[in-house]
Amino acid sequence: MSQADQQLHDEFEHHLRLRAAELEASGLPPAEALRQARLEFGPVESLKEECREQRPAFWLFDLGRDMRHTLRLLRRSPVLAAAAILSLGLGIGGNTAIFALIDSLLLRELPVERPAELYAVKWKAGKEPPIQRMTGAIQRAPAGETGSVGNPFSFAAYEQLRAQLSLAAFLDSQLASVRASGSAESASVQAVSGNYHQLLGVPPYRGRLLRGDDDTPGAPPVAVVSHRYWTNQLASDPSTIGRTIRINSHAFEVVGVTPPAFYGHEVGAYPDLTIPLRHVPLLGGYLQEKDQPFTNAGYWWVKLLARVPGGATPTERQNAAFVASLAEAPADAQSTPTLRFEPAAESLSGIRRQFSEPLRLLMGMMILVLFIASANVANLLLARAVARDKEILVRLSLGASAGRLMRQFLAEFLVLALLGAAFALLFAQGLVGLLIPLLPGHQEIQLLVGGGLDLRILGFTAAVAFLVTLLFGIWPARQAATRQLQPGLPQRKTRFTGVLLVAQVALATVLIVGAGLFAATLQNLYRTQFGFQKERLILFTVDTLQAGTKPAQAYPFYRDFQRRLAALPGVSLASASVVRPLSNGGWWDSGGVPGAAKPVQYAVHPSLPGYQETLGLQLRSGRFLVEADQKAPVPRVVINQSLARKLFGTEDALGRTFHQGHRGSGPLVEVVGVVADARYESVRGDWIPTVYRLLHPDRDFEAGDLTFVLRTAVEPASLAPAIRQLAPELPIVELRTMDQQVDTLLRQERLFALLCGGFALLALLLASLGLFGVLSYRVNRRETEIGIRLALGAPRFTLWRMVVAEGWRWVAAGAVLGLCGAAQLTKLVQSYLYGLEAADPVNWLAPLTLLLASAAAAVALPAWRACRLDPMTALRRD
Amino acid sequence: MPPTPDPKASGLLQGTLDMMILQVIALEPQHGYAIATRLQQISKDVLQVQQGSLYPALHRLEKKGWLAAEWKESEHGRMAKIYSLTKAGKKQLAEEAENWRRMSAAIGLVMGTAR
Repeated sequence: MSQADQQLHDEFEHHLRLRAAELEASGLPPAEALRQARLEFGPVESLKEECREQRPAFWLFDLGRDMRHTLRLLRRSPVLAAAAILSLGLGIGGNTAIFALIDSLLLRELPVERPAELYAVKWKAGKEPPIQRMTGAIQRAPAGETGSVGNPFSFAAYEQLRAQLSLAAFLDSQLASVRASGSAESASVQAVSGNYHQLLGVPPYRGRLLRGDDDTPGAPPVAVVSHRYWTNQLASDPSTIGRTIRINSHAFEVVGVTPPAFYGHEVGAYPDLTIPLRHVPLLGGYLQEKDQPFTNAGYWWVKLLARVPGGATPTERQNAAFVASLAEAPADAQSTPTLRFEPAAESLSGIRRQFSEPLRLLMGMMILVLFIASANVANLLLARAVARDKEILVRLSLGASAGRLMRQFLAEFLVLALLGAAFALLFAQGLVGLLIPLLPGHQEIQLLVGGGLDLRILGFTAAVAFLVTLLFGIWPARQAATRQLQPGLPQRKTRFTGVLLVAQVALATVLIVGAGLFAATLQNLYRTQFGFQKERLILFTVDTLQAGTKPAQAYPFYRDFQRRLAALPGVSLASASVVRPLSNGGWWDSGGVPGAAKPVQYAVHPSLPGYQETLGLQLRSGRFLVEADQKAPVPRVVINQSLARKLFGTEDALGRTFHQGHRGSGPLVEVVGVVADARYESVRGDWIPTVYRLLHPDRDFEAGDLTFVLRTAVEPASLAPAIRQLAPELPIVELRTMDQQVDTLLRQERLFALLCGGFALLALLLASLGLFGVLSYRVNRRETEIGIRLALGAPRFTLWRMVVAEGWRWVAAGAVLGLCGAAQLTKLVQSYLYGLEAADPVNWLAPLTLLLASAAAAVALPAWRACRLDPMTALRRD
Repeated sequence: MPPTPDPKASGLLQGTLDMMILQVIALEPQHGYAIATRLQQISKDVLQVQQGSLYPALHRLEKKGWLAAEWKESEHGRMAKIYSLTKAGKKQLAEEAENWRRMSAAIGLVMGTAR
């Protein structure tokens, strides 16, 4: 007994003794006097309880006591405890795992000073502004707006706007061959304006970061390295500062290291080196000095980042400065671009866009699973409260208040939830560890997520445990504690159990139907028509610049390499394109027949001769491209059927010409062949109008990459060693068979379907367990009744039917409710589906069968036990 | 099981009981039993409150800071919890007494005229 309780006891005792002494003095016998005094005083224990409730934070003391009490109780029924903790652990753990991903990928702010002020600058226009050359993206404006939104600006625009805004410029990072010491390694290099680090408010970790004067014409080339690069490649050696490293064989002086927590302005990108914008042409990439990137206002290539304290709306003056920088004055208001600020973290990160929706959807699913798990625990506790009815009655009679009992039951749930949460943390860590390597871009994601548990994750998990306790503990606790004291009153505690069971079955139905749709989608994606023969193909990418070849020598080199590849035993055809097929990216252009009103958008495959044969495209008319086409006065192209239809309608396309590039005003090209539609960058979506043209010996190598495709007569994977041996000096990346390439492309889809399926099965298992648990428990409670019935001659089948009927009532209600819910909810995920309609009941059949089968098992087992009871044993039990 | 004590059931408002307790303790610091006896004596046994129900009220007033308590040896040579009025308690009592006087005068008026 605590000191406070002892004092309470003493105080009451003092009162009773004084009163008893007084009564004794008036002539009562001592025993009677004490009895009388107690009667006058009232119910001692319940009064004590009332006094205790006046103490500050009294419930905390109670909570501690109740939790210890619960732990003792749980130790007595370890199976029940384990089931509850496991249920909650899986439910909470799944949420924690998804939250860990959401937190690090979607919620964290950029590692810069005052991140909320940072905006990506873009422009919006009704018609395309005067752009002569562009590197960047122009996209359709988001839903609800018209026109298009673009991110590249001319350098002139950047300089004009700098007077109006606190602004930094950057280029997306590119891979380069970097030699620090020893051999050259591939590293990502980001180019930024000199004020970039200052604008973001990043302090140097070692040395200094970039300054304005580093980014002036004629300044000596310098580079800042990331903490990761410094640690991994430079061995954290402080003396590397001031040393020279070679980026694509140009000397740059390392001047400093960025802090460990700083990865840049894009969630999911982590450039190894940062150099001033002025020195990008040295790298020999797509930004070439001859295109005059710093002086030609018609060349749009630089991206902008602004710090805008306060409002995020561009002012009139800023817009005017932008328009003043255009190469030619816009013709009308339609083609006058206006500035647009978008929050930097969301706008610049591809990872955020890619994962935002799937993660939210998974979180939603996981919350449903948690509901099912929590409902199981609520039902378990309800059942136990009924079993402890006698104990509860005694305690109420002894003066325990209903509130006090409720708190105790809540504490019981809380203990289970907290133990479940502890298990959940382990489970979540394991799950995240398993998931990350399966994600596209997993190295960067691993860096963002980090390894350990941080306070946010711990806090989230604890909060979920408390929330679950409040939501699911209150009702059972109330049911148990507000027991009427009149003996013999019938118990009516089954309604809530029934509601929970129906809800569980309904949610499991929704999840399993959803998972079924995603699984069917994945199957459809794999079975889709690719338009070329994807079997017996192997492909790999080489970076022409990293290989050290000058653009001028590149073409002859790769033509020779193509011949050597084709001569390998087992290889029947070999060719290469600048575009890697099915890799979520490509080259885009637009063109049109002479006199056409609107240019047509299409994709381009600039390739070496023999590419169409190698891919195995089906020729519809004309012929494939050959080397001799290179020398034709009018460049010759092969187009696919979609483009033929868009350009020429139903007319024959062979021999026809169209303007290629510059939105329909570029040079004319002649169509020599039409091929069947084939998948270009991804599996989903409509067929993309495509132009197959020959690689230009000079111009097309600026981009850097070339992807070779080999058609083989043998198992394609077996050729990998021979390919590597053929050119040991060539950096070969992503050497895969076409089937593996499809796997890579569909990696996220597969993972998503897998997770949904996993969650749905977990939900089904938990719901079935809940059903099984409740029914078994009821059969247990009614053993005597069943025994009597059997003894009186009831057929066993009747008893079986009695239990089954009870169970199926809930299952049927739940399934019907779930199907209604699924019909509504699956409309939301239609955009995720491929080749099927969410509302088509055929797709619901398999999941529903699975649900009913597992429910049948959960119901049949207890029913079977009921009719197998031996009446004699059952009757003797009580 | 004995009926649960309930101030409302005995026609006594909780605030009124609090005020009377403060008033009794204002006379001199004393222990729970003495307060109970005193209440009954002064009210000429009109107030039939179960004696035990005094204690939750005492503990509540103590928590509110209107009463201070101290364990002292009582007149019978036992340790007893002696309650005394704090400064805040005195102020509270003055306020409540004033309210009460105004209220009962008003009620008296209404009842007097209505008769």
